[in-house]
Amino acid sequence: MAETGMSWLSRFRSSNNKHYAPNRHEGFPPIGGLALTRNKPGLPAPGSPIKDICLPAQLVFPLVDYHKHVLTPVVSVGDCVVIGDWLAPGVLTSANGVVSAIEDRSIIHPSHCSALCVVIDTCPDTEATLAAIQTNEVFSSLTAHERIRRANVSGLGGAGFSTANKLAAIHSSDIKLLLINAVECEPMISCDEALILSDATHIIEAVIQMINITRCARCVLAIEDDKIDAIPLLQAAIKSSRQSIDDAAVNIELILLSPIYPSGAERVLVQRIIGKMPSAGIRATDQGILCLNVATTLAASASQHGAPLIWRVVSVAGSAAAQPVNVRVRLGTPVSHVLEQTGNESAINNSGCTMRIRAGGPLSGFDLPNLNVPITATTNCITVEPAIASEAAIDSASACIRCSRCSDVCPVGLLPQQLHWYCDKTLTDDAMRFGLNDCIECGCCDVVCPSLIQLTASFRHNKATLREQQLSSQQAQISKVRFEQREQRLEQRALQAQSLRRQRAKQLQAKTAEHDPIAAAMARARARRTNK
Amino acid sequence: MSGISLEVAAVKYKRQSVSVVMTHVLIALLPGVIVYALFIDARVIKNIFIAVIIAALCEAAMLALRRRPVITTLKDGSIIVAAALLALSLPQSLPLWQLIVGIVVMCSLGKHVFGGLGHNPFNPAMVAYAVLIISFPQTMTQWNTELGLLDSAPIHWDALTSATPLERLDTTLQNKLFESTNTTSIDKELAADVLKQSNWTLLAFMWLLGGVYLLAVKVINWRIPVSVLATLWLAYLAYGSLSSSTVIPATMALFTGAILFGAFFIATDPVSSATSHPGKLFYGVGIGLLCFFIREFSHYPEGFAFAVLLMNMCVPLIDHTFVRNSLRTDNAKRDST
Ligand code: SF4
Ligand code: SF4
Repeated sequence: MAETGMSWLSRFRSSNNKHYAPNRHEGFPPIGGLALTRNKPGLPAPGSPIKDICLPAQLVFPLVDYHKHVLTPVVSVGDCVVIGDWLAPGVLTSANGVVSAIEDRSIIHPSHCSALCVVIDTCPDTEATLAAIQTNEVFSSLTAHERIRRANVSGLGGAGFSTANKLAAIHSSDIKLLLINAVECEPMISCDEALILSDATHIIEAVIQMINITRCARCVLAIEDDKIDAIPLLQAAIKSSRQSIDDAAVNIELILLSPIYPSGAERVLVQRIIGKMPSAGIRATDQGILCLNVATTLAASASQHGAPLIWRVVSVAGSAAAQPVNVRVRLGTPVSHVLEQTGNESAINNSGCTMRIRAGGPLSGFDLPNLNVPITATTNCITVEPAIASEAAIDSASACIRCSRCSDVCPVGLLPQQLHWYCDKTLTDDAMRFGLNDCIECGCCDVVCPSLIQLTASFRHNKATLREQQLSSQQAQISKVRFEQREQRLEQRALQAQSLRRQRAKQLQAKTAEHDPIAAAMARARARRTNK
Repeated sequence: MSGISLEVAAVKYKRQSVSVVMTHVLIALLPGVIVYALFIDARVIKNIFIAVIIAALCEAAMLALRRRPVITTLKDGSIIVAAALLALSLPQSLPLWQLIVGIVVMCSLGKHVFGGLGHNPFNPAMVAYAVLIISFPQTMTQWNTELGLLDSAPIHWDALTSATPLERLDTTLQNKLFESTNTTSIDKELAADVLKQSNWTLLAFMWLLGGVYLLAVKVINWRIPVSVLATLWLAYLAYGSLSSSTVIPATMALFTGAILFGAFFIATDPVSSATSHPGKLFYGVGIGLLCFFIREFSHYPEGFAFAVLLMNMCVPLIDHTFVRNSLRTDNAKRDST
């Protein structure tokens, strides 16, 4: 009897921990997040091939970097560019063509802002370009890190942080964990899955290459456990790579995570793999963890052969999409071109009235009022949705009842109700103290809030304002220093000039004392008088 | 900025709006109210009804005075829940005008002086309860004698919840019951006593049932009720083993008075309770301890209201202290630098 009781207990325990037991390579339980069900009709069918989108007539490249600093263009209107040429520090052209304009254009940004962009009239690709890069003498002498920088590889997950900078932020001997992120950012996005399904072997090779480059101690490949098509492919690829390479150091651990949104976010993923959330303000790289998206890994690996990052896979999804599909798009392609090529012309015409077109997934994405915005490295998804039936229902946010549902689901352990309170009262210092900057803008708190408060939008806005303030105060500091330096210089110059003047005056005096014409004349006169 | 509407965004999630939350609370109250009306005092229905109507009127007036949308705010149902909870906390024999005073106090002093829903630091129903019990101690404590639990021993009015008489009552009841079954002649009066007491226990079970329902539909978090009940239970256990006199059995203490009702419906008021997880535990333990001390060592039988109000006062401090891990390390870092 006792035994059955125990076994019953153990069964209960194991079923309870099924998804979470870390020794079963299933990661740690998340501290928040949502278990969302995916709506299949809105998703690209798994296994459907990635569609190539043809080169549009015009490409647009925003000149802003990860921190939204404005970059200075290094080309001018009329210049000819070929694939891989720099347009500005950190911006490469993804096609051959002619710079037709450098002007303000609207970009994909939650605040619907515009930024300085380089516009390129494209001409067809030529085979010669890549070969030219590869045979370039300078290229062959570059180190792996430099090649990644040359190829302008940046995070293709969602943040778009430069991979070279990420690598530079962490001394290579300190890389404890290379974390390859195959967990989708959002339930509606499937671009990483599509990549794995199309070429798992290639991905594993790329991972091994990254292991060799980073010389990391441990390498983990994390994916959701409901990606039933992708997991066997990865497992097979890992197995065959072990056989063929026969390198004991190369050991890719495949960790299957229960699909809790937003496990694809770096902070949350790190927590689910190592069991501990990085403290506020600490990035994964500070802990010796290099976290790379699968697509980024592929790009970094391709960069070793000189291929610059010129395209990315974008999911065109949503319940109103003509045919949900994953597409391979040149960076800089306007969203409208992608929609046209995927048969969503009606969505373009009806955008804003019966359709909503969003950049990013349903949770962390935002509506696009203008469809001429260019796809960047961070655009992982375009969602086409029917417009909200009752706008009023969305707007009628009521007061926060402090039910703490939001803090229960916050995947990074913040207290959104507290942040909301401080943001509302523009007590930014307090909001910062409660971790506003650690908010990953995942939207979980919005989803659960019974008062329908748009928490994420307010956090996003406040973070942006705060960043701008910091930036302008930095700039003010810089210009203050500059001004002071200038004042100092002027003062010094004035002092110098003064001392010079004094010196000259003295010299003059001395000279005049030696032969003063008046004194001489007087002496002569005196002499004459005495002579008389 | 665009809002998130998951129904259209092809990801499904069942969101509970405030009105849904309030409906769940009302559903959870239902079995208790039915048992109360059927077996204890039918006046409860009338009182709840009056309380809700007056509270709605009062709320509407307050909202109008504050120039806030009246209908949409009333529709969330929070005032209905608050009125029902207050009506259930009060003795059903309370004169009508006193009930109305309570409701007005709840709406005005409890809620709207602080800025309405979500901004009140104190539980509005408990504010009203405290005002009533201090202003009208006689009518407010009548219900204990009316219970008829202590017909034979009309003593101190906090008899229902004060330990010793109850214990005595309990043992005498058992003895008498034992005798009666022995002699097979059932004392009618005794039977009535047993019935009355069992009715109150049944009511307590109904509150427990409602609480479990609230937990199941995720309207409340387990931390506050569990910590309140566990603390009280342990306190009575420790007290019982320490003091030589006979004390109410610990488990029994939970089923007397309005402990279960308070633990599940009053202490869990989201607005005025702590938000972080450890904070909730601390808050619950505080309520349990204060409640124990007030019940055992003071004149107020329902220590619960005062315990809740006292802990409400501590909530900002608790929230400040128990921010979650990541935040705490951040603050520690900030303080050390
Ligand atoms: S979920 Fe909404 S109502 Fe509840 S505490 Fe958070 S912000 Fe307030
Ligand atoms: S949006 Fe920010 S505050 Fe809200 S749940 Fe996500 S991380 Fe937490």
